[in-house]
Amino acid sequence: MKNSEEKRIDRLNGPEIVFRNVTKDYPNGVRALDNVSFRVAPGEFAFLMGHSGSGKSSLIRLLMMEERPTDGSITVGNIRLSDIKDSGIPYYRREVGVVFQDFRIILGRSVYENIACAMEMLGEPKKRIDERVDAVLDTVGILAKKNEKAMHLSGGELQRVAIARAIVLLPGLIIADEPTGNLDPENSMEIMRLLKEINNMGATVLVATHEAGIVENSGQRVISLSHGMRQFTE
Amino acid sequence: MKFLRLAYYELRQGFRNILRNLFMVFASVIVVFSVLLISGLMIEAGITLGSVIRQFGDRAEVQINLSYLVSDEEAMEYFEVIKSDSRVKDAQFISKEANLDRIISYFKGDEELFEKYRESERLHFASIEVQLNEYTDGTGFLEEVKGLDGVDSVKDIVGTIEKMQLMRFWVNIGTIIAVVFMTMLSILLIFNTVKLTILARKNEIQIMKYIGATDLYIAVPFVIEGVFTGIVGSVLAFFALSGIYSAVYKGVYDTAVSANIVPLTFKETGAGWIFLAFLIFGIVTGFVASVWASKKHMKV
Repeated sequence: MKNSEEKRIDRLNGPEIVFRNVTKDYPNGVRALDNVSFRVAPGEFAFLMGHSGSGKSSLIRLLMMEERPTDGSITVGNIRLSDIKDSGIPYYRREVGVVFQDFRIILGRSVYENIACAMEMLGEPKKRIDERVDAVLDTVGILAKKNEKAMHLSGGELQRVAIARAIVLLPGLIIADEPTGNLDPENSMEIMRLLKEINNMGATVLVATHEAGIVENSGQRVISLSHGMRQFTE
Repeated sequence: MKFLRLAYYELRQGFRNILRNLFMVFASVIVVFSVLLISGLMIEAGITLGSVIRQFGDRAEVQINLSYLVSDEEAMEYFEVIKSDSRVKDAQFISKEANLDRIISYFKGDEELFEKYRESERLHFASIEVQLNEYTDGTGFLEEVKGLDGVDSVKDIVGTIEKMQLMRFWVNIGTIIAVVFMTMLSILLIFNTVKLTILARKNEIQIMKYIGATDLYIAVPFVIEGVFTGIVGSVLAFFALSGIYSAVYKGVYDTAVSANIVPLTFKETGAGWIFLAFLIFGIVTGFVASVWASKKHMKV
């Protein structure tokens, strides 16, 4: 880290996440989450474990406010998500960085453009955007690829771009949904190391995964889901 | 400053959309262009017809030929009655002798052929030339005059003007229908263009939503694309219409068909106003279509 932006990234304030008796039913009758309660402490790194269909994605969607719970309450920091109106959702999402298994990077744009767009929508000056983009690209180790088109990057590099984009607005909370699902073991380890590094900066990080290998020996707390119910926390 | 920077980022994205979607934008521009050109030509036709009617109306003249049995003295009495009519702007009395001289003078060079007719009683009739206040006064006035004893014939252009008025009415109706129909067509085409852009960028829109972009921020570049399409189409249509009108006017003028009857609408209405009207049409059409498409298809 070589410029002033680094100091700001160092000061991420991770919020607490609290799920209280959250239930999510879909219109087709499927109950994705059944009375789930857990807490992630401010600045904690936690795994959300479970097989396909266990309710991980539903839980992530609730945290991203793509969906609203049928019952129960979710609190992120001081914000009770049920209090946020639809028009307020974009502003909430700016406080949450998200990383997906399929990267969700705009392939026709350059690495710089993919990251800068998050700051442009806030009307930030170009100079500040340039500095911040350089800082986050340096953090994830692909500053040299700044001007390359995303379509020319490898899977590991694309996920780094996604992480860079997730942290460019300096959110306190990072949610990663199967971030290593499309990566080889080496890149998976690197992405997990990056997420841990961001956690060390102060962010609360919640990683949903079904890969036991990623979780083992990580030393992080695991919230396990099965058929929409919390199984255990260790 | 923040607003200006946002505007700049939005504009840049809007023009990127246009470049990516150039073919469809071009197709929509052609539609807006055609709509405005056809509508413009029909409106021009209506205005021109109206101007012709107005000019004929200004010369709403009626010639009343009295019977040869009516003497000049009796004819003067008719003249006084007609002149005092409230619908009459001006009237001129032409005596029997003056009338015959005028008829003979139409045959310049062969006047001697008509000398023998000077003795013909039937060619000795007085006339009254009447200018009406408005051609619309004509119908009732003519009925009354024709009903007078001693009136032989009445020549007028009231009937012609009425036919032209009817024609103008239908041209105006046709113009309104065409404008409404073609406006809907252009809105649909721009809607479709913007819709295709949105669908092609569905993934991108979803990503923007995840990182906290508002619907308005995402929609503005699409609206810029729609408005741009409308503006380009309307500007092209204005210049094409102006060119066509100039060519038509020149053709009419060169054939010496009463050049002063055909109005130079671009001058009369003011080219600036026509340009402004086209521009507003283009902007509104593009705006409505793109906002509609954004509202309908941006829920990803």
